[in-house]
Amino acid sequence: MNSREKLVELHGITARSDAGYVVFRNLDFTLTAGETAVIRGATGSGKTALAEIIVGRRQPESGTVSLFGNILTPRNSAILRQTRRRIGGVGGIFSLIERLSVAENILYPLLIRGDARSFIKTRLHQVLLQFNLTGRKADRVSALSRGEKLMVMFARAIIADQPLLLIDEPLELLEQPRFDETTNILKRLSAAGHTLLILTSGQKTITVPGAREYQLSEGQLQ
Amino acid sequence: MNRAIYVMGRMFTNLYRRPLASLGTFLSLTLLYLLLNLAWTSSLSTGAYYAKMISQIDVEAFLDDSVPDSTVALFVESLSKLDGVQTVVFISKDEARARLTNLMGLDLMDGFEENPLPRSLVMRFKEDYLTSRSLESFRNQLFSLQGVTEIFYAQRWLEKAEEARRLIGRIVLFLSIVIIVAATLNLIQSVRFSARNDQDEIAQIKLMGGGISLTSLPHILEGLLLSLLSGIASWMLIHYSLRYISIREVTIVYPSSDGQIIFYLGAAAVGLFAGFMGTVWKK
Repeated sequence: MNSREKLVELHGITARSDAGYVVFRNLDFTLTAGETAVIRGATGSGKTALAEIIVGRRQPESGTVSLFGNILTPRNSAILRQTRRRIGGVGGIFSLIERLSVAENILYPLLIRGDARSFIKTRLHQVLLQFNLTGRKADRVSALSRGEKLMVMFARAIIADQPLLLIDEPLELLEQPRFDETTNILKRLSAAGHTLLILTSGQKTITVPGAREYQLSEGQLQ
Repeated sequence: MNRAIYVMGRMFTNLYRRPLASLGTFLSLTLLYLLLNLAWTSSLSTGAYYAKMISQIDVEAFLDDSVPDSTVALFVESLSKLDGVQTVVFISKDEARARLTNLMGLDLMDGFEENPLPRSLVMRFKEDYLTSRSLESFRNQLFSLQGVTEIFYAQRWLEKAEEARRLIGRIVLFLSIVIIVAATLNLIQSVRFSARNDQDEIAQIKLMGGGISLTSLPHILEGLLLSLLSGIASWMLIHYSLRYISIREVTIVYPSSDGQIIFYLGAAAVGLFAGFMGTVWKK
């Protein structure tokens, strides 16, 4: 991947909420490979709507959404699927499947990509180690604490080397030790060259070195 | 785990997670397929019985005394060559008398100076020609022969039997359509319920870029499996229960192995169609 490749390009996005009020007004946003962007916004400011637009789950009224150089249109479901496979999601619209085990949740992106069994096994072992989840791999997600669930989501978000990580409200309800651990994970991922888009309500300050910071209010990014 | 194992695992999990719903669908489908197969077996058995009955039908043409025996021999020869005619047997006056005596138990012609019974030709036909239409057309051809005075066959009986057979065929067809529609709707609802139960999981798989093979295929295969298992169970029930049933003069005729293969393919098609519809039917 070219380090200057634009992974996310939103141009002239105008969108309304389900209730009908304007969420975004002519919004522009660009995220380049290797960059980290933190978008802060109060509850109801449209952070989740922005995530939905980026993954093609919500259609804007006007404007174009381009991911990895592909313009997303609802008609081209094959491109949409291919694009989504390159996004690792944590929190917000991305959730875990409670009835499945930790390992089953984490390996989903590899299953979707159609990787071989042996590769899935090796890669799963690596990420379980990376996020200290080896001892819990057979446990059901429903039996995990909030912090552990977050670790499982991070593991799932990177297992397929997804180039873009979309992280929605990751730290808001975490206790301080888990908060610090997660902030360190974000820093490590950023330092490792992952492209991070972090959406937060800003109740707790997330500091990622080199991150571009935005404020989302009244449908605009400032 | 790879994708194929995952899909199979999800299919079985879907059934296992809702045991009562799965059992209910399986039993109701089994019952519907049982009715369908019973109707089919009954239709084949009555068809075989019908064929056996009509195979005994013959046409007897009575000849005028003026027709010389040499002409009768020519009649036999030309009639034997006609399409659909299996045998032509000439019954002389003496043979007719012997047959009547045999039938009545005494010689009714005793005391007559001359045997008044007419000579006749008795014709049997191949199975495909034993229809009222064919026999009627044959009868008209026979009448064109000079010297044929009367023709007899069980015309009314044959017409009634054909009518009854057509009626049975229509009833079986109607029942089959109703049963297949009911089975399909039943299965669609079951798969739809299962898919709705998994909608959060499906939404996450879609968000991660999963296609139909991960979102819908487990449910489609669920429909296939339920339909096939019900089909197999229905045949097992029929084979088991009909061993204990016997009807006088009626032999129970099961569908041929080709017919049964077609049935299983049909059940598989119903399962796949219902599974697909269950996953795409949103409302």
